[in-house]
Amino acid sequence: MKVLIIEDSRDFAQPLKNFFSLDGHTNDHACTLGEAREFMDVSHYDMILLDIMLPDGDGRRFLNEMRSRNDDSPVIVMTARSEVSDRIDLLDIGADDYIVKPFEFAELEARCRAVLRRHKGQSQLQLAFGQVVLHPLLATLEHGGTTHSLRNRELRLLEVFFNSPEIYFTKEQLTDRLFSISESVTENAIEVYIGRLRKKLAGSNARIETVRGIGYRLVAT
Amino acid sequence: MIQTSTVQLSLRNRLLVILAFLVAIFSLVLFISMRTLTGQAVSAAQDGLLKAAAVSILEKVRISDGALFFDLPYDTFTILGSIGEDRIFYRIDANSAFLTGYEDLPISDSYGDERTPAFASIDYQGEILRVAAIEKPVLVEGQSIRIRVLIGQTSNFQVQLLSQLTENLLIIVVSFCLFAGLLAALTVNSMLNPIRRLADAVGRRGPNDLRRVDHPTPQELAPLMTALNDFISRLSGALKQTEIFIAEAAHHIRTPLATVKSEGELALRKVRKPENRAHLRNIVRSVEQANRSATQLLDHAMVLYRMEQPERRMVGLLQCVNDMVFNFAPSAELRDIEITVDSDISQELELYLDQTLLETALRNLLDNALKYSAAETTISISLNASPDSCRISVRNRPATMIEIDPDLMTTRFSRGANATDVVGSGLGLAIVREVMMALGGALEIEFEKGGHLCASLSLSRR
Repeated sequence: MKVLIIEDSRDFAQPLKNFFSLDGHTNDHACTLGEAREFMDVSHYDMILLDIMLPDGDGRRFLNEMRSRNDDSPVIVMTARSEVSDRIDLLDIGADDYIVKPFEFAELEARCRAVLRRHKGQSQLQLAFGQVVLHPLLATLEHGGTTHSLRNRELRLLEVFFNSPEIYFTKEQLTDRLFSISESVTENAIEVYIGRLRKKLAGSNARIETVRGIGYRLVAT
Repeated sequence: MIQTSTVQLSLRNRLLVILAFLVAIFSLVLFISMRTLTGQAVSAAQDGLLKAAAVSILEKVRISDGALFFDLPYDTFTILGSIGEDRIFYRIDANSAFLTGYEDLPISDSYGDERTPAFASIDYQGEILRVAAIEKPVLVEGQSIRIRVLIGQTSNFQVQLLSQLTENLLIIVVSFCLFAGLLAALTVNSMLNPIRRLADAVGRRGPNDLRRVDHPTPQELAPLMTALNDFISRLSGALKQTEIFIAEAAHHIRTPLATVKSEGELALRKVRKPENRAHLRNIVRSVEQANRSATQLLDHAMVLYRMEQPERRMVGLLQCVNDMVFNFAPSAELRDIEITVDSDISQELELYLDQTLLETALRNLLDNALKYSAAETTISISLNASPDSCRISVRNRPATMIEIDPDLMTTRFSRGANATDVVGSGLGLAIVREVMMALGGALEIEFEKGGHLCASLSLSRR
């Protein structure tokens, strides 16, 4: 997936860029609407993250311009205001979704996924490891002619492994990726999801390996 | 509703008091003048009769053979006696010697002539007499003798007449007073009508209508209109500035918070040392707490504002619920929580209320349900309607079920014992309860069998 981040704060844009890069998505960052127009003139983006208040103009006007020239690229507006009326206005002018700052990456990921699902056909993402294929937008796992549907946390856990195969992840790391920081969970909770994924991967040439004291990793058998 | 403090004496009351005072003074002066004139007229009428009687007696004096003769003028007495029940007294003297009549009738201090008799009011036998006194010199055998006639009449008829006239006068003056008062009230009302119409025109405007007031008003109100329009223009500017300020403040507060949170989350992915991870988790959790508190405090302030300035319109409940579910779906998906909507209404149910308030209540209710629900469960929203009311129920299965007093749950900054591990401010349900009070509805919280919690919003359809 190719993402354009239109955000004037470099401090905030940098972790966003890192987040998408870590998940294997290419991305560009525009500090102003002018820069964004230049990026969009030369490249197509699967997802645009748009801030409202930018130094050279209002993000809403930029969105209006996009929609008026029939550019229906998926746009998620990042807003600092949480009033309902603002959100309704954003959807009215053509935003696919909005997310209120500050947000968790998991929420951003979920909203991106939901928006991309609605634009299905434009962007068919799939991740493969060995003979196992993961369809994040469809939330399915496919191997040996069998398709398994995945719950959201199972999908996110598999995405972590598919994006970094052979890499060890500790229980804590996986817990932080799967659960919101604002909720309290035990580290053993992750074992439930590992167990479920192992069942769904059974019969394929991929398995989740446990190394006592270190963590888990996806390996080929 | 904001009540305008009313000045003790309103402009209308002030004008009415002044006009009523003037009418009362004028009526009193009118009454006294007319009463005096009437009294004088009655008195003059009696004096005229007494003068005629006195002259008539004097004319009946004749001298024959050096002696004085009197013929009493019975016809005159008859005329005097014909008016009411009054009594007549007289005495005739010649050079201070009593000739005939009532001897005990006191003689007058002064006597006039036939043209201008001397009139006086005297006390006689316990009654007030009006007397006319005239004298005339006659020659009897070469000697000048002064013939003095004193004739008096009681004033009962005059008093009675005056009393009747006064009564009638009083009725006329009071009627005039009332009529003038009524006219004054009508005039004041009519004068103040342009102000009332202007107030109505301004009052009918919605809270966001800050256009210039172009209502036709009398010339005298032009300075007020200029000042009002000037004020509206300044208020509009100030509100716009406040709006921009709030937007910028939110932007400047939330963007660094977002940066800290994002950097924290990214660092958590990279850091392996448990102590460092614990520190980072605390930082991210605190940012989340700060953000949630700020959002809910803003929500709370907005609810208090909207309670005073509601913007009512027809709102489709099902649409509103579905929009809210759409908004929460990605967050719910993160925890494998499904949100279902079940409605027993066949077509959209519309209520006349403030949509922002209803959305705030629903948002806080759903946010609460989502925060405390166990993962991989369902939050079911049901919408039921009866002819009089409708009910939106949100049913969820909390991860930890502790029965708490619902009143405590809806108290500001009060949190349940099962909430200590979940980031929150303790304002969510308090906001919902306050919104329902503002909408004239109610929030009910019920612990159901099977570990479910059901929060319902009841709204009247009338």
